[in-house]
Amino acid sequence: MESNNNHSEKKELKGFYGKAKISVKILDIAIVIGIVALFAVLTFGMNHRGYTVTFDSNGGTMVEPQKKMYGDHLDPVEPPTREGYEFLYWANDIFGNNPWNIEKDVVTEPLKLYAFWQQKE
Amino acid sequence: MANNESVLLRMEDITKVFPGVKALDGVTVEVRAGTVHALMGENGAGKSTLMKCLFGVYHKDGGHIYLEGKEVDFKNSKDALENGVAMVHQELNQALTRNVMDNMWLGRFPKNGPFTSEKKMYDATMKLFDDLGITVNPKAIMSTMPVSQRQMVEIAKAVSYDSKVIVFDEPTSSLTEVEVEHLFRIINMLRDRGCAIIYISHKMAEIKRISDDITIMRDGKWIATHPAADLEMADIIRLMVGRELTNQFPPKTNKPGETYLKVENLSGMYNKLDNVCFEARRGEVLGLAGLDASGRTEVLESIFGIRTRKSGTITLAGKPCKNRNSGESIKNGFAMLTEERRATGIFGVRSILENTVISSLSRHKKFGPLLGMKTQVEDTQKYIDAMHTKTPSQHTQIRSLSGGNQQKVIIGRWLLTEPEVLLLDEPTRGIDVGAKYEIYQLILDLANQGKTVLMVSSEMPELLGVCDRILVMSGGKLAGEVDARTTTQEEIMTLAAKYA
Amino acid sequence: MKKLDELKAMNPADRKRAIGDLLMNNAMFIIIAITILYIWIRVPSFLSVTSIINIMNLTAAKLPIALGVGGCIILAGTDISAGRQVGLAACIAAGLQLTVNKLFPGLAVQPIPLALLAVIVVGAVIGLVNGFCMAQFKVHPFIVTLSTQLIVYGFILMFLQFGTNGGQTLSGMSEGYRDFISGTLFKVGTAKVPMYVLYSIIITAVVWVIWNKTAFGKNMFAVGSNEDAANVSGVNVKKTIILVFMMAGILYAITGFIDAARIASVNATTGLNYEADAIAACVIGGISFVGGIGKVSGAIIGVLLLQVIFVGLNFLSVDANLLYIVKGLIILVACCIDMRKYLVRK
Repeated sequence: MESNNNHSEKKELKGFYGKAKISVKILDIAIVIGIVALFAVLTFGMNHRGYTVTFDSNGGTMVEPQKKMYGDHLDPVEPPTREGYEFLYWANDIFGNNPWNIEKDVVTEPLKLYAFWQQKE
Repeated sequence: MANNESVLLRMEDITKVFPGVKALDGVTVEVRAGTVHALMGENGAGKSTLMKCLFGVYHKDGGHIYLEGKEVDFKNSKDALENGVAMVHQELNQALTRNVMDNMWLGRFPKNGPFTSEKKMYDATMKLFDDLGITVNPKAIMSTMPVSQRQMVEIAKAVSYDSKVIVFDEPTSSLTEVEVEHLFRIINMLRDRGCAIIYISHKMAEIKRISDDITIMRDGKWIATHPAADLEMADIIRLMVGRELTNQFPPKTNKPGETYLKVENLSGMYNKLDNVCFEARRGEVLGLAGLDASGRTEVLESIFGIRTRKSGTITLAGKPCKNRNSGESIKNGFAMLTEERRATGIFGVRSILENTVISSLSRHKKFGPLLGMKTQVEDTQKYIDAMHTKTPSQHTQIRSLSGGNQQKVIIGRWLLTEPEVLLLDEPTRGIDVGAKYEIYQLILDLANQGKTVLMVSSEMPELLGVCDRILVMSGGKLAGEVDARTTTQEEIMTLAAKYA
Repeated sequence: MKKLDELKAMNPADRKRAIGDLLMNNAMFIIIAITILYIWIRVPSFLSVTSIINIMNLTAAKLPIALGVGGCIILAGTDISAGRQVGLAACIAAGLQLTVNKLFPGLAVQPIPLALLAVIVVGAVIGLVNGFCMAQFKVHPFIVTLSTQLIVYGFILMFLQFGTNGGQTLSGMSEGYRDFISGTLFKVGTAKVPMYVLYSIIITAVVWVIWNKTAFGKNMFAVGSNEDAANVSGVNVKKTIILVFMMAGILYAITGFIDAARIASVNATTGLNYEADAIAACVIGGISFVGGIGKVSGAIIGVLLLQVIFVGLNFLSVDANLLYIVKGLIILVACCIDMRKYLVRK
């Protein structure tokens, strides 16, 4: 009954795919379309490179966002001002645990920096 | 018989090459209208490859196909069907949760305007069924019907397309004798209408009965075409295997000893198995005969604990066995070869080695729970050698082997568990003649070693040739017991119909 | 070399097809190779020692979860609750290791083995629930793990509400815990190889032994390949399924345990979508959804290649949002290739 063998070879593809009945040709087309889509997405990504760094001045004056590549330093930032407060530092978390050193630290991902203030005496 | 001598279908010089193998080598077959043409050959002879080339499943590498003198090249089986060439598959592809007429008219529902018409569909189906003498309710759900009736639906579908050529691929492999009779009546009717029938089967007796011409293939080559009347069974076998095969069965040498296995009041929880009692001796081959769905398989599966029992005690050498699941049964010395090799036997994507050792892993524990590789390789090699399994290596995926070789691997798996009782369900199904003989020999060897073998088979000559006694099942009950040396097929059939 | 000879011996049509098969079946590796080459040309520092060590560290951190999901895929299933389970384990580990404990006010820093044991027990219990539903009620793995994923997320949110925390990010874990995970194993130049790389290697070795050298491992592959045949062959199918999911749960728990200290801050989004990375890695690495096919080495290669791409795209400053689209496409293409490999040519 080799008829049996060959005949149901297609059915052997079960498991998580269910009893998929599909020809190699259609799969080839799907694979090629998938790859083309993948490269299209990557190309789009390459044309819109860069990480946006935004500044939340916590009630102080606005600071312009910057667009940076991986490994870049931030452009020098004029410290923001706020009535009755003195600017301390920028940090990349809302608790101020990780201060950001504008001269030394480099951008490796999209970033949001928060301003931290001290009340004036 | 054949009153129309014109050639309806001619396959000329068909060649098909797979990487490394020439599956078909210039095969020419002519099928005349109003005849049944049997196609025979061992596994891998190229019968189904030839059919797949006809139906466009494979693209043939050379040759021509002529239907009524015109060259055709079907793109797929639908294309073939619409041109009057139909195939009744051995594995039926049907929408099981839908009813009969939905399946019949699938893809071409009779319509009233834009809506499908139930009534037209029903009438058309009934007319066709009356024509063919089929008594199936067109509104019955497919999954509730036995395989034989589903096959009738498939045949009716082929007829409804006005097919001129109908191919039957192993149509009787899951039918009982009575159902086979009905099938043959229908085939004869189609032949008398002038259809050309191509009939593929391994069963000699059937072929002799039904066919007008027989074409024999071997290793992808055409070997011979003769009128069926001119060929004796031995001739067919000789042509198929290319060597003299004097006997279909090896000589029986086993000597049954004392009573060993006792089964009492076996009843099924979710099947109709009812109060089956029997005994089997050491070194005995005990056959189980019966119609389809008579409970033969259920007896074996209930003993092995993979079907839930309602009642029943199993005693092996005076010791009661609970056999609640397969693991426990294996520990108690039982082994079970299931009917559906593909569905419940092989682990298709795993290697020969893993398929062989899976049931006897505890033998290979080396450091605590860790398994040693060396003994696994040794055991596997032992049974590859012992069974003459043809495989490139132990690490070949089992699905790439032929049916017979897969069966040998699984038998090896069970022998490794060192069983005392072997439960074999259709051990030779889908296996070619040469390999069948080897399996018979193996069964008798095991009996000679004092093992008890219970064997279910739909092929009566096989039971008569190999077994000592035969139990006949009917409608879930044990209908009787016969001595294999003195009984006849007629006696068994009478018993099998007792409660059916 | 033998393959090459075989190729030469074929007739032109077959050779063309064989080469086509080779190209298509390895398409994923080819794309990844091209991408890596491109990134390397654009940003040569991508393949500097520091960067390579960084990739290795990330791979080590993601490997346990991939091995857990890999086991589920071998069973012809999947596990989409993996990421949330990592999150819950991270929360629990962090909760027991806070120096100023806002979750359980007054609770001192607990011993590290106790924290590890706690997350492992939780992971095993969730795995047990997953496995039990699948083995006993035959619910589709997707549905089961979708449900547990939601349940676990609910637990995470409630857990973070304990004490005076009010759902905030947990940070400020004990020094001992952070050293245990992120302490220096050794240094290559200025690049640090942290302790968790060692743990990851040990875990991988243990998983390899379980998969390849134990009866449980063999049974896992058998059940994945053909559940019915396994049942007949004396394999305890239910037990095997449950154990695979429990093992997966434990591996996720360990991932979470490592992640809490590695990232040093834990919140409700910790572990989010980790299962997507893990599934993608497994499929790339040849652990097939067909069931019963896969190797530990495949999972390692898959995780590594995925991390190389992500780090590379990060070097190119590609928008992180695009990475989700990239991951989704990679999974789809990898699945198509996987299906193609196990289809038989007509």
